[in-house]
Amino acid sequence: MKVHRLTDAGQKKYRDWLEQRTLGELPPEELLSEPSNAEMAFDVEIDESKIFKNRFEFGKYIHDVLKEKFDAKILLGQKNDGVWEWLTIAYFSQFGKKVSKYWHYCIERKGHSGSLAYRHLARTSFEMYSRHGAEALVMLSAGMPTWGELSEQLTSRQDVVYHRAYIQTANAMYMKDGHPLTGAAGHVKSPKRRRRGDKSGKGGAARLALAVRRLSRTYDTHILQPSQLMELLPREFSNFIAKASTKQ
Amino acid sequence: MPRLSALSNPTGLVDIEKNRITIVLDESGGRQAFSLARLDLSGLEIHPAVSVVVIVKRGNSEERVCLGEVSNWNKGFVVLNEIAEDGTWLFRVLLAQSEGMLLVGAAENIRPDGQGDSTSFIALEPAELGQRPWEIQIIENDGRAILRFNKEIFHSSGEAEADKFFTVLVLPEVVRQLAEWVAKEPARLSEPTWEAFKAWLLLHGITDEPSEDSEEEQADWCKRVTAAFCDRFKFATQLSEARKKEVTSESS
Repeated sequence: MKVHRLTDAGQKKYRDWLEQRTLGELPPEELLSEPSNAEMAFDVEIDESKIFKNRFEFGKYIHDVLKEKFDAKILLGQKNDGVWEWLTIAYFSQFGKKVSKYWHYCIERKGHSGSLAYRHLARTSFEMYSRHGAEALVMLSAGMPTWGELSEQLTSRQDVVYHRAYIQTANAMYMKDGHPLTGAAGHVKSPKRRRRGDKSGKGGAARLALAVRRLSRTYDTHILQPSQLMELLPREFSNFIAKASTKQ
Repeated sequence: MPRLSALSNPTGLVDIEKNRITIVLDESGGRQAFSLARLDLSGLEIHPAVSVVVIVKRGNSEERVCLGEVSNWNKGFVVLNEIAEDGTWLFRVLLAQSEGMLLVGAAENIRPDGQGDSTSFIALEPAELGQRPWEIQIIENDGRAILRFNKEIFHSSGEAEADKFFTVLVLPEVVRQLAEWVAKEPARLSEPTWEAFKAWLLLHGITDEPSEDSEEEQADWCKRVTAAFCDRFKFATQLSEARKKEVTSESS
């Protein structure tokens, strides 16, 4: 089937359906091709029956299908929000295996603290693969229906998510054999809840974003190789750095 | 490299004030480009061999551009390929050692000054002009010119700007007349009020000032200014396409 874009009416119908959907239910078939709901966006065929192991595979597939003919920047623009929602519907049997928050299935550009478009399962898979290539695995290793804590921690930092060295380093430090290491997505507890000596969450992806932001004030971090960036990181990252060194 | 973990300043990083920097955007013709038109480092004792690096941010996208050594950085427009099409523009201007990636100086959260067009020094205004379609009025003290168009033809400046035939045919002549006026007395360019026009010239690759003595050289300078303006916006192509469109709609 050719890649379509949801029309305004199609987007409304899709959102209404999402609000009342139940687990296992698929979107109405007419959302995919009924002219009032969807119009052809690109003269490019996609294989709707394709099964993806994770969102990395999905992002790569859509990138390979579209990138040759279209600029990623244009595809990610607001005008093409309907394309990503249509693609979510086309692969809903995989994306919709859970009932998650609506912003994972439709693009929400107005959240209480900024745009939530980064949480869209399909769009972000494409965006991150387009930007980081194979290194995007650290953000997209979760299964198709799962957003995942590691994705949230790495992609929600809008000021570093396009930073190549940051993502390359995260990929080197937190992934092993295609899977995230334990503790990579850990949270540091607030000082009130943290007991003395509790190091949980230290050295995790959320802390890496903070560390890179700090280092960017002193170094031209964008062109650093992961090994150079690891050298500069504070001691709390030493466990993950040691594991990264043994992988090499 | 030494290990750093806090927001201290052990490396003696120089904080460059925002008013030392001018960044101009160009979003014409579907492209996104910027120019670091001015970087005033006077009194900061920065080594001339450090590199100028600009981190461009828009929305959640980001692009790093190296503009060369601070003694002779690239002042032309740099096309951005990875930056998003929507969101607020923000720039970081960094001075980095060529080896070691250590920053020597930085300016944070810089916003662009303008869109790289002529609107900062050429304003459009409707006027009663009888049978004259337009005229130019140069306001020396403000460092700008006003293109006064006949209000019987267009009711508003927006309407005039939207007419391709008007803008493409008239604007190059306005720029030529303005250049001619400046060329007659080149000292005007060193006055602060004409800073916007000077920056605009720089962005169009006109780095020299008109000759003070030779009328021939002054005429040549005006011709180069007009040609650079027309080249940048591809006025002949624009006009030819508009003409073709009009012919097609007339015949159908």
